[in-house]
Amino acid sequence: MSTLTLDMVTADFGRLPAAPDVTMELLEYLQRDEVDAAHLSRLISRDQALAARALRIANSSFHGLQSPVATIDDAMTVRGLRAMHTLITTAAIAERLMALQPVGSDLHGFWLHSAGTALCAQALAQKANSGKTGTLWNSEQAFTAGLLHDIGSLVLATRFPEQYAEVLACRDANDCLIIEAEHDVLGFDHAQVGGALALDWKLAGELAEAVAWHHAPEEQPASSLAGLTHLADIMAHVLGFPDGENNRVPLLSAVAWNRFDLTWQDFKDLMAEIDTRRHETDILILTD
Amino acid sequence: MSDALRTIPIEQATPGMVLAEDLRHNADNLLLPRTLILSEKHLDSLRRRGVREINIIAADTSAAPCSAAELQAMREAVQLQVQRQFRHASQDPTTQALYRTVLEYRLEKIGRGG
Repeated sequence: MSTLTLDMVTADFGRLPAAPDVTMELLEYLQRDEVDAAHLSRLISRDQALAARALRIANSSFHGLQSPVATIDDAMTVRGLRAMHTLITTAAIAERLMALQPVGSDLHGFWLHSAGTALCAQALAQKANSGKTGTLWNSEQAFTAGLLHDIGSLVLATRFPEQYAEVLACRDANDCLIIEAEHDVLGFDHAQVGGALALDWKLAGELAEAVAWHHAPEEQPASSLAGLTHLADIMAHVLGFPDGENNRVPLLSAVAWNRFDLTWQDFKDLMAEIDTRRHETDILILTD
Repeated sequence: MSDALRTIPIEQATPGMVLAEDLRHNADNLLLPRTLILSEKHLDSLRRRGVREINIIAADTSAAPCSAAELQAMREAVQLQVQRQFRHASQDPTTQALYRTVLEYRLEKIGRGG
């Protein structure tokens, strides 16, 4: 067992590279209870790269829109403040995550899986909502949870490359799942690290919960985004995000699956939908 | 499966083709595994690395109809690939239902020529 502890990893969060000041200011503003659309729009216009990314995410996560929105103001009008709040938050977090560039790990594969999971989570949320009334899934929030669910791995690979290399070596030597190798080598896992980071970054509570419990959704209530993120993660794996030798489908929680009123035919239909939207992951891959 | 193996120049490779052999770089570094269904990204990456030709087990379905042998080879490749993805899956009924669903989906996709 490595001498690294979860406490040591969380104590290191303060040393992760910061995002530009504008992004940090925006993230802080987005955490307020009352957010004003005009002010938000002004703030984001000061960072064109961020605005562009937010627009790409807005267009991608609103499958079915007749024509893509071209400006943040248009996006606000078409999609509403609540949706844009989530999507701009996602873009700003993405900006922070792009500063994490682990050496020697498959960063493209990481983002492909994350982007694929985001698309799956959003499609699952919409499918689960169809024909329902009452409390519905927030499909933008689901999208963000999918994009962020493995951030713990990114932190480990960036800040603790030696220990993470041991984890990967253990996975390859035993041909086991990454989470099993993490437990063997570190005694904790990427979901715990990611959940703690989401809290440290003061992301919405349901996002932190989804990230922290995406491998053990049965520990959370049925309404938790953890279950949806869990299924989306698995769907992304079976759809080949990413392909290759290391694509091992994580263990499926029967409890999580049964909480959704979905048939296997629904699952197949969703796979087909995502298959036709594969190219959309390109604009979400954050390696540039 | 060997009857459907074909060596083609990288320029003729199209997404959807299935790799017949592991593609390695410097003998031990696995780039892409056997039975992988190639995507545009894979092809880009191979071109960037200067790979000149590859061995595939399927014809380009959009260019010409597959022979029965080629279809069978594709089905076997997909079956192997899904089995490999699920090599850690448990025997519980829900997981097995997921496995069957994914396999069905992938096989139907071949049937549709995709």
